[in-house]
Amino acid sequence: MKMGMVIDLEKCIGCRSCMVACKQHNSQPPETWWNRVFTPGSHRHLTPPARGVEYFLPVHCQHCENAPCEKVCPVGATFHAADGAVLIDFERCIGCRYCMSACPYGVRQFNWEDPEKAHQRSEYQEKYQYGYPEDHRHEGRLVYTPLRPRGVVEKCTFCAQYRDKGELPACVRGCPGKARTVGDLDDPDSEVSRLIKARDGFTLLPEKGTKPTVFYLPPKPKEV
Amino acid sequence: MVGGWGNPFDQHNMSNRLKERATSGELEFILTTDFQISTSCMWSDVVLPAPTWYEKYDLTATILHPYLQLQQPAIRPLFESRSELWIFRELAKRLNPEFEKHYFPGLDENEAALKVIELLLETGGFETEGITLEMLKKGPVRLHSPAPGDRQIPFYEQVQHRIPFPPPSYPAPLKATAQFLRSGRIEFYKDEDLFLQEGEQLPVHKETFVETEYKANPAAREKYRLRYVTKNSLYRVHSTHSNNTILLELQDNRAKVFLNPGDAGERGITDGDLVQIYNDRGKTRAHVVLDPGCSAGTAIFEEGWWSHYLGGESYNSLTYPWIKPLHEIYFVPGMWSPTTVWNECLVDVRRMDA
Repeated sequence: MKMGMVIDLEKCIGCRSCMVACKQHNSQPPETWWNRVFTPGSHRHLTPPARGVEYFLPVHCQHCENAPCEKVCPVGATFHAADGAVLIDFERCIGCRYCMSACPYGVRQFNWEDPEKAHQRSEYQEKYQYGYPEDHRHEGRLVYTPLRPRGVVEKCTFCAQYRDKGELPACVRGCPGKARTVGDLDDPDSEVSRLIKARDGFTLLPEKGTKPTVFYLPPKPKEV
Repeated sequence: MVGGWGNPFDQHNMSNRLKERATSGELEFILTTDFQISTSCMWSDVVLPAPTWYEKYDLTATILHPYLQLQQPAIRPLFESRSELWIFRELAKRLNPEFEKHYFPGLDENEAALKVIELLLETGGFETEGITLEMLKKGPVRLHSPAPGDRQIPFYEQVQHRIPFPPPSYPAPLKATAQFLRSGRIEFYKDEDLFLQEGEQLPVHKETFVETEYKANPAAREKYRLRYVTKNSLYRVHSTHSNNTILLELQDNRAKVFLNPGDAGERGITDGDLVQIYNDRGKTRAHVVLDPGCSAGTAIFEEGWWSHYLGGESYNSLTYPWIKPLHEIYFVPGMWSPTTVWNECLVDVRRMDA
């Protein structure tokens, strides 16, 4: 079993529902986004680039097979789960941030602040919390906690807390265009494998040799 | 003024007039029901706490798909909030004890809501025939249509069964909308005095602003050279969610105005500048986005911002409720009646620090 995700850029309408679903379900404080949707070529989302065609690109942890973040971690906090997802053990992370400089996709986020203070910056009602409310352990390791302690790195877990219950990640469920598919990349008959083959699926920054398990299906050329 | 499910002190085309009338006392008393402290709540004498969508029963349908859906409470109403049905039943009772009988007295708010929904299903005509509350509790149910297999085929009865146009269009009764098409057919030529008088008996192009802005103030042609378009935002449903912190963060916590790079350059404006959008009627503020996709001569603002995010300056202080004469020929509320031509508005833009 090798868990993978396919994102169909032809179906992505850039609505950013996946960003909001991800942020809310995973209790991310202000300015922390595990998942981002860009308009490539333009510095502002949904503003077309001066040259070229407008399309939208969701970017989050690429759950690389050959993950540079895992290799540089001096304490083994970043690890591969049995299904191939790259996770962080919050009890081991020492906050050195080597992984953040090693990641070529810039998707890792650092907790600079006390988490309750960080949430309070949004002026929520006192004690108000959003997101999955309980700690979650995968293979005995703490991979999700609603309030990540100050000084640890965090990122997309493919929603480990939901997948371990047989549910889909929040971004997959929250996508109104059904642009995201998850499945087993080892199985040549799985929907993800078939989509990648039929639609020339590609990965981001293949020259880095990271072997991402997140694949993108190119948007169809538009008449301009 | 008693209101709910809306935010007229931002969204009304004369929101600034509303504010003036509230200040002068012409609007003696303002009551609003809402679950967020919107601008209209701030201008109200009394705010009654309504529940959110997830705390009450409702029946929802839309023109966007043919399904009827039951909105069911996921949690009990928080704090002191009560459903609008309960609120208005209590208000009605206090106005006149006789009125209570129209609001299913004796039933709690959820039971009463379900009774209303059952009544709607029973009296909904062929579209809701056979659809029960029990079916809706299990999930969305497709409404019946005159076409085979309940398919959505426009004008099926008109074409197949030769029933005169127009088809029913809700909520108005057919009798009210049938007057739009007296011939009983789709009309490309409108044989009506007012259409003839306005020269619009056939589809015709009329220049914008000639009958409105330029007529009211000929100097506007030179003074205000940008068409002001207030589009929907990706991050709100009109003015709902205006204060959602996650959605605010996605917009850099600030209102934007989209300008063509040429128009911005002419005015010494660069990307990100805080600008004032102004005309003779009002002003508001926003940060500039240079958008090559925005056609020259247009300033696009995203409607729905609560005015406290705009320094108290509403974007609807700029618009004016021009009335198109043809809108006065029939009167079917919400379908054919005088309304604002929102984009018939000229403005100009200058840097706040200039």
